[in-house]
Amino acid sequence: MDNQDAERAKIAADADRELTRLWRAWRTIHQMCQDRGYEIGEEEVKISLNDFRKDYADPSGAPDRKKMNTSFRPTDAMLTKYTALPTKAEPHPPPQIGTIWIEFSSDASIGIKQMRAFAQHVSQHKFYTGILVTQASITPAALKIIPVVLPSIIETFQEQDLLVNITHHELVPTHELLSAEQKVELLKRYRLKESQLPRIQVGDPVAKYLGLRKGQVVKIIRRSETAGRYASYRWAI
Amino acid sequence: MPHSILKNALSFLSNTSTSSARSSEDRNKKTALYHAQLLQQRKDVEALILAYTEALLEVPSSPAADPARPRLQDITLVKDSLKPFQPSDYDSLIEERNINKRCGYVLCPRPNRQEDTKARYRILHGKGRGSDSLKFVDRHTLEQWCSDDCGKRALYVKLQLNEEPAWTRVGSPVGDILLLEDEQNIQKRLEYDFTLIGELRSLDLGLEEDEVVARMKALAIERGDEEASSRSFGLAEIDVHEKRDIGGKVSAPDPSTTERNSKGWSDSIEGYTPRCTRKKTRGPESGNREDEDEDMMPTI
Ligand SMILES: [Zn+2]
Repeated sequence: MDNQDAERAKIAADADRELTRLWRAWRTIHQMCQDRGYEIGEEEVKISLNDFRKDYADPSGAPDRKKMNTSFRPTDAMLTKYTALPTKAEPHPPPQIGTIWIEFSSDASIGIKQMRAFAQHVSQHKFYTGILVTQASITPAALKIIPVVLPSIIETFQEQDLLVNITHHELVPTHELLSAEQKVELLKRYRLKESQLPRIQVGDPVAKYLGLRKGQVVKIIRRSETAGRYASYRWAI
Repeated sequence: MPHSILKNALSFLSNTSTSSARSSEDRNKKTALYHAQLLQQRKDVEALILAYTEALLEVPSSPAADPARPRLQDITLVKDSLKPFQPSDYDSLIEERNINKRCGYVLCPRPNRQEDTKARYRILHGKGRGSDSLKFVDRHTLEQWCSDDCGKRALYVKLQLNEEPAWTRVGSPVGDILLLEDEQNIQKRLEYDFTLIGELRSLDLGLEEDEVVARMKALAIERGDEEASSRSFGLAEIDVHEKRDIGGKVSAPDPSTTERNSKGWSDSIEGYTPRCTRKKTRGPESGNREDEDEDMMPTI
C-alpha cells in the first residue's frame, strides 16, 4: 500500500512540475505578445499558478496543452507601427500585421506532418502569424515548410526557451521596433542608408522575441552609469 | 563552395570570355546570372526533395504491404522519388517516418520498434559465446526499424544514393536504385539456373557435349539474349557495378543457403564471373568436364 501511495505521489509531483513549467512558458508568451503590441489584458498576462491550474490542468494535474490554444488581435498602435508610408502607387497601404494564433503542441516530436497541419490551420483561418510552441526541437525538413506557407508568418519556440523571459534580464537592454516613419526620420537625420547601420540577425533571441523581420530597425536603449540613457540602432537582416 | 559548382562556374566563364569583345562588366553580369540560376536550381531541387519526402511518408499505400514483396507501384514511386536524394535527405526521411511511428524503411508499413528502456545502449547477444559475442547497439538505431531485416533493406538503398547534391550532378547519369530484394532475386535466379544445369547434367550424362550446349543455348534464348536476361531477373535494370559501392557493409548472400546444393557448382553462385571460380573449385567428380564448362558458362 505504502509503495502505491509513494508511486502515486511521485506521479502527482511530476504532473505538477510539468504544469508549473507550462505556466511559466504561458506567461512568457503572453508578455511577449503584449510587448509586441497585441491586445492583452493585464490579468491575462499575470495569471496566477492556481488560476492556470484551474483552467489548463487535466484530471491528473498535468497540463492539457490542447486547451491552451489562443489568439490575439493587434492594438491600433501596433497596426500603425506596421503600416508602410503611403506612396503615390499605394496611398493607403494595409498594415503588415494581423491576428496571431498560438498553439502549444501536444506532439512529442515535430516533423513535416505536424508542421504541415499547423501551417494549414494558420492559413485556413487567415491568421497573419502563427506561433507553435513545441516540447522538443523541430526536424530540419519540417523547418523547410515554414517559408513555404507565405503570406502567413510562422514562428516556433521550444517550451524550455520560454521558461524565463530573456528581455527581463537586467543585462538585456530594451529593444524597441521603429515604425516605418521613425525609420525614415532616423536615416534622414543621420544621412545614412539602412545598410550602414549595425545589424541584428532575425534569429537573435531578442529579435525572435519581438518577431523582427528583415529590413526593420530596432532602437536599443541602454543605461550606463557614466552616460545615462543612450540609444543605438540595429538593422534586422 | 562545392568543387563541382566551382568547376561549372569556371567552364562557364572560360566559354564566355573567349568571345573577346565582351566587357568585364558584361562578364560580371553573366557570372551573377549564373550563380542566381544555380541558386534557383538548388531551391527547386530542395523543394522537390521536400515534396518527395512528404509523399514517401505515406508509402506503402497499403497497411498490409509486405516489405519483402512490395507492390510494383510502390517500388516505382520509391525508386523514382529517391533519385535526387543525398544520403542526408534519406536520413531525414527515416527520421520523419519514425516520428509518425513507422518503420524507417520506406516500403514497410509496420510501426518501428519501441524499446522499453531509456538507456542509450542495448546489449545484444550475437553468435558465439562469451563477451566477444556481445554487441552494444545504440537504442536509437534499433528504434529506426521494425526489424533487423528492414534495417538492412534501408541501408542497402542508402549506400546507393549519390553524395553529390542533385543540383550539381549535371552530366552524371542517375543510376537506377536497387532494392535488397532485387539483389536477392538475382541471386535466387542464379541459383535456380545452376540447379537446372545440374539437373540437366545428371539426367543426361549420356548426351553428347554438343547436345548439352545446344540445350543450354535454348535455355538462354528462352530468357532472351544475355543482356535481356539480366533485365528479367529483378524488378529493375541491373547495374552490376553498383556492387562496388556496397562494399562489405551489406551482407553478402549467405553461403549456407547456397551450400545446400551439393553438386559441386554452388561456389559459382557467389559472383558474376563464375567461369574461373568454377574451374578452380569444382569437385573431383566433375573434373573431367571442364571443356563443357567453357562452352556453357557464357550462356548464363
Ligand atoms: Zn519494417
